Amino acid sequence: MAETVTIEKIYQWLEEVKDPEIPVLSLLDLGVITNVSIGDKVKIEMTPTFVGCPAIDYMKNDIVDTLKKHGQEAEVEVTFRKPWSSDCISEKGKAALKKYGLAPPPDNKLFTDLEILENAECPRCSQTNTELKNPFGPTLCRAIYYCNNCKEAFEQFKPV
Amino acid sequence: MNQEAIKELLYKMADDQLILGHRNSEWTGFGPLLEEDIAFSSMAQDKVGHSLALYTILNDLGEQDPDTIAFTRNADQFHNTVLTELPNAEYDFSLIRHFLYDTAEALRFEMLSHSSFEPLALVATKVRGELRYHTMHANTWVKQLGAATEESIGRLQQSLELALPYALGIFEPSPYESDLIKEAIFEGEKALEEKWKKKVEEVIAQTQLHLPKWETIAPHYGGRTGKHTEYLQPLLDEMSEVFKIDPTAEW
Amino acid sequence: MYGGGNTFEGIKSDELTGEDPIKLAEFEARIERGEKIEPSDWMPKLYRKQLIRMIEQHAHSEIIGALPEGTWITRAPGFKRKMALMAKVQDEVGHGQLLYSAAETLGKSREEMIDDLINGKSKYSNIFNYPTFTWADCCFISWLVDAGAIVNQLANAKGSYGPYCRALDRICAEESFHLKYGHHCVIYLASGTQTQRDMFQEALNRWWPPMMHFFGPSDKISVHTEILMKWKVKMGTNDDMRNQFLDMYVPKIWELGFTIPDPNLKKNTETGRWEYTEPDWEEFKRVINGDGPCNKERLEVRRIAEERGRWVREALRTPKTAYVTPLA
Ligand SMILES: [Fe+2]
Ligand SMILES: [Fe+2]
Ligand SMILES: [Zn+2]
Repeated sequence: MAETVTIEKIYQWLEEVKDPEIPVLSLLDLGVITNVSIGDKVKIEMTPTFVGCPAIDYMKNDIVDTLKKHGQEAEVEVTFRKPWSSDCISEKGKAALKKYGLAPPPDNKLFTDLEILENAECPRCSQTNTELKNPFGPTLCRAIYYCNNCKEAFEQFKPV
Repeated sequence: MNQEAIKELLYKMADDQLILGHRNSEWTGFGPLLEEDIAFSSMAQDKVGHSLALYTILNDLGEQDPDTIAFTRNADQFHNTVLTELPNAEYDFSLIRHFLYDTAEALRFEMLSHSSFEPLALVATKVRGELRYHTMHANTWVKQLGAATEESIGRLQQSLELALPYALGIFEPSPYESDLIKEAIFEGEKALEEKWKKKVEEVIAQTQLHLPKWETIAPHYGGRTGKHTEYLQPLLDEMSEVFKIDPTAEW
Repeated sequence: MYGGGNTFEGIKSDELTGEDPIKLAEFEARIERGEKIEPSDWMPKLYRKQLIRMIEQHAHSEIIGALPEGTWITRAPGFKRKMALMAKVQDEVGHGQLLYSAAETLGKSREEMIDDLINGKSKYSNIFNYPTFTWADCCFISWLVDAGAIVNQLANAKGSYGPYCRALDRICAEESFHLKYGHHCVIYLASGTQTQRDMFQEALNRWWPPMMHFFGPSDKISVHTEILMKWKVKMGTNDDMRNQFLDMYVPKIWELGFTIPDPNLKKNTETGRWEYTEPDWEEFKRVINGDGPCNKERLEVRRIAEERGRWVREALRTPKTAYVTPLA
């Protein structure tokens, strides 16, 4: 192992690993990296957004490949010890999602029933004159809304 | 902790998830509207993912790896409740099954999130959040279609009556019930069944559907001990068709 | 996924004469400057018509395209593949949903579009009229048909119509994930047993001709294509797209040790263009006009699904809750 490796360095490198389906969002901002430690080996713990997330293996490999590119061997463990919720997405991540055209999730603690889901903020016009059209979008983590103002559908990263 | 009891619990839950996930995925491309195609295939993905998480715990307890468990057993080695293996039939039956099953499932995972068996509690905590979307979906549709047109109400009513005996089969008593309760692993099928009945009553009351008296419904048991209908083996044959071309190959 | 073998309706010479020349000039200047046209902006009737046609064909291709792979979800070997394929096919249906809604912003309802799909008035990508006999066929689609679709969609994403481009941006990101998944599946077949290798080689032999058809016949340079390209509805010639695809993927196929069933396929190092046996365009026409191996089956599935789902859609017209209704 290179002597100079630090936890900070690793976090810096991890910033380069993006969500395979949302190229503007790093795994760190997505909040799926739950721990980084340096012992005999560099060990990274991560947790899936959804239990059935089909991208988890790809993310794992991307992490290993990226660190290897920086000359660092690493081991990635997937665990549910700190379960992911949409509140794990960083503020920076939420802003990136919005810019990308996906409405960021509202605060999960507020999500107790449908009412909250009824009016998402449109990522284009920032208005809430919107309707939930389908709580299940093209991927497990997204819902589909319609903005009455833009007259256009948009996807929301849903609160979980 | 009683390993046999835990394994029995895990197997029946995982098999339920896998088989119903498989059935749900058969709706991909055939839904009554695109939104429902997507909803059912989302739920299918979730369920298959949940089954994998549970098989992984079993693997950690010394059972075979998840692919081998899922893709090489025969019907009589499966512990899923019969409700999950029945063919999709028309949308009304699939919807009612989804409602009855997922209501139970959501409650089960909620209970298990407090389990003394930590690996299961961790998975359950995660899964229960996802299931909110499943039950929300089921409730919304049952309320909508159960109070819309004569045809939709009639269809749902018929499917409800057809599915209820099988739904009660979910709670088939387990030989390990008292061990599970004693060790605070799981509160037991009986407790789950009672909570489930309340929930079902609550939703059905908001529709024009009629719920028969519980005591008039004879539960269909057997799935938990490997007694299945003629529908399960063909499903498993299809599932393992490619896998069995060469089980030692990597796909 | 979506191919460029789409058909643009012939433009009648009088279709542009009714337009206000000042508005038209302004519209063209905006496109020239790279601005996006939005649903409530003025646009020539012809632009609207051709766009609806194109986006609609794209949407149909997504949902019909879900069928040949969809039948393998229940048979996918192992958890990893099963879950990824489920997710992929669901993405495709989701793309259909987003694209129908993009087309609806131009004034045609989803119901009308689906009706036109079922009655054969509007088309979808020709390649989905071929059967998936084995798991390897399914892998071919996931990797190479999606690869072809990406070539097209990346180009179209630079087009002029805002809602379509925005939908495509997100769709492309997902498609690149499909591509990775498909590529992995094929790598496993390539490095697996002889049976697995043979499976893929046979699939490649079956699918290569339709893959060459995928991008459509050489465009005849005509007034039509010129206008469509000026308006950034059509973003490149079919031959360019095909060439780009060959450039990117033929080496990758060779690298895995497979043979492409065309003895004349090679890159001309002087022109930088690929040379190949001219695809059988008669077959292409025959299939697009309904006489392919699976046309009837694909539409029949859609028709039955619509038929069996009618009572559900009728029940939704007595709405109590909004969110279960179809988009717009
Ligand atoms: Fe697609
Ligand atoms: Fe795709
Ligand atoms: Zn808006």
